[in-house]
Amino acid sequence: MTEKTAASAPHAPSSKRLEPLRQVDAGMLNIAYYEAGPADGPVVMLMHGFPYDIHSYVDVAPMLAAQGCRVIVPYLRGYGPTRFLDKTDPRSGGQAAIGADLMELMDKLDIHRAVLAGYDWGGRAACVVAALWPERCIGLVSVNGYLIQDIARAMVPVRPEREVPLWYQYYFQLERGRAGLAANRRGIAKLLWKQWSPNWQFDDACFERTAKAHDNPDYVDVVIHSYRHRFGLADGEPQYAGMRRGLAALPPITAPTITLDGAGDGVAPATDGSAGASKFTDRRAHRVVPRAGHNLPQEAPEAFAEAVMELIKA
Amino acid sequence: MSDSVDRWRRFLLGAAISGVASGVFAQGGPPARPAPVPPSSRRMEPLKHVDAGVLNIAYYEEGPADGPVAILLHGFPYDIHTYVDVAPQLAAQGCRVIVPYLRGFGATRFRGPATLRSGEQAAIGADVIALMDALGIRRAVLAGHNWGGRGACVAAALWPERCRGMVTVNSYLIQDLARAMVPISPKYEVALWYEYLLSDRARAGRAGCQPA
Repeated sequence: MTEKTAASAPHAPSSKRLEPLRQVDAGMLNIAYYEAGPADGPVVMLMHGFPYDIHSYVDVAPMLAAQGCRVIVPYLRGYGPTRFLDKTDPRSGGQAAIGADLMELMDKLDIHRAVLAGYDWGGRAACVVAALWPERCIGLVSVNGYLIQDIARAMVPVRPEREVPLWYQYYFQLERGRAGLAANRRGIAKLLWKQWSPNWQFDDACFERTAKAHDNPDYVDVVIHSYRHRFGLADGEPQYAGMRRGLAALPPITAPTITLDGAGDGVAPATDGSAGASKFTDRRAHRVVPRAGHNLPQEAPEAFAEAVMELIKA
Repeated sequence: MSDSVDRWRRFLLGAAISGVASGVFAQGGPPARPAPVPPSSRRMEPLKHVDAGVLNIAYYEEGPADGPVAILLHGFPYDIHTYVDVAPQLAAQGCRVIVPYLRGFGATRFRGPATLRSGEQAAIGADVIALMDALGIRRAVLAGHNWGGRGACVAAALWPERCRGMVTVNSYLIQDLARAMVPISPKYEVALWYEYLLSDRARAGRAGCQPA
């Protein structure tokens, strides 16, 4: 099932910024996003993960725009200049919330259908929308396969070697973890970057460009809630109850899909893609990208952009 | 500097260098660097068993019954064989060595099915004293690492009259539970991953789950 992509040289991170940003009220958020490419091109939503930001797509976005795509790269809730509209809204970080935000953004921008592409939280958002609103998804690019969380089985342990890289998730269950994240946003992020992408050489400027996005006033609350909800230890918001019921069934994804694993991913080790295969009911290809770590679009932008373009041309 | 301070410094130096068996007042030079010791494959047997407090404690004993007592306390996730080479060395130098399995380890058992399976530091320390009481040991050198070092610290701090001296790996181990939620540098938090994994996730999660 697994295809190999060509080995690319370790990618020197670009120092440019994705600017200017646009902002739009969408659902409970004012979402900041970067846009590039022709307004009438096929739309690609590029979704970042934790603890990263839109600059995961600093090289992917111009590659896709140059090939005629309209590229939208939003800051997730809790990141960068994206803000909650209401001070009192709960800072939920559950998978339903992240998926709903993506839907709201597409609605607000009058985007009926798009290729949804992402990794980590952003890949999860893409999977959620692709599964619950299949008519909105032209195709899916997901790093690490099917990412909808099976919260009902969250208390089932995995092998100790696989639990170790999840230390931060256990840490965040404690108030100590909340205090630690609040006090050491950069320290924790940099540590995770190194653990998750052992082959990626990023410099201080590259790190700081993204770490600024974690100074968002809602970052700590959203992150902590996300990982507590992930284990069923924090309630979700009532407004997403219907989505949660849908997601609890681990719904299939019916759009054409390309899944990518990084051969050097230190938190979600590369697989042959068979584990989630039954969840993809249309054409699906799985690829292992040599050397790439968890932040795959920034580390291997060619492989990521190529997967998106294949879905658009198909 | 007073004489007493100076003597105390020599005491600490001697204790650090010489370990349990040699006199703590010995004036040693720098410690000889031992070659890496291949792990011994022998087992510490036979075990003895004694009812002590809430436990029936399994322990290994070696050395003359009338020798000065050294209680060697293991940690997590280890067992009494942490002392497989230490015990005979001390016994050969005239110590009565007692090496118990902590609660939850090896052949040590709770006497009552309803007793809370507490692993708190007070319990580990109380087990040390209960064992000493059950064996009629009034005073001992308490030595340990990790959980065992903590048990030694607890017993030494709360029952100083029972402690001739203490050897502890990683220093003062009594947990400051009131400050347990104060984070430390991320690089040190990583090493504690198993503590977070094993924490009461249900209770911990509910404690702060309401997004602000």
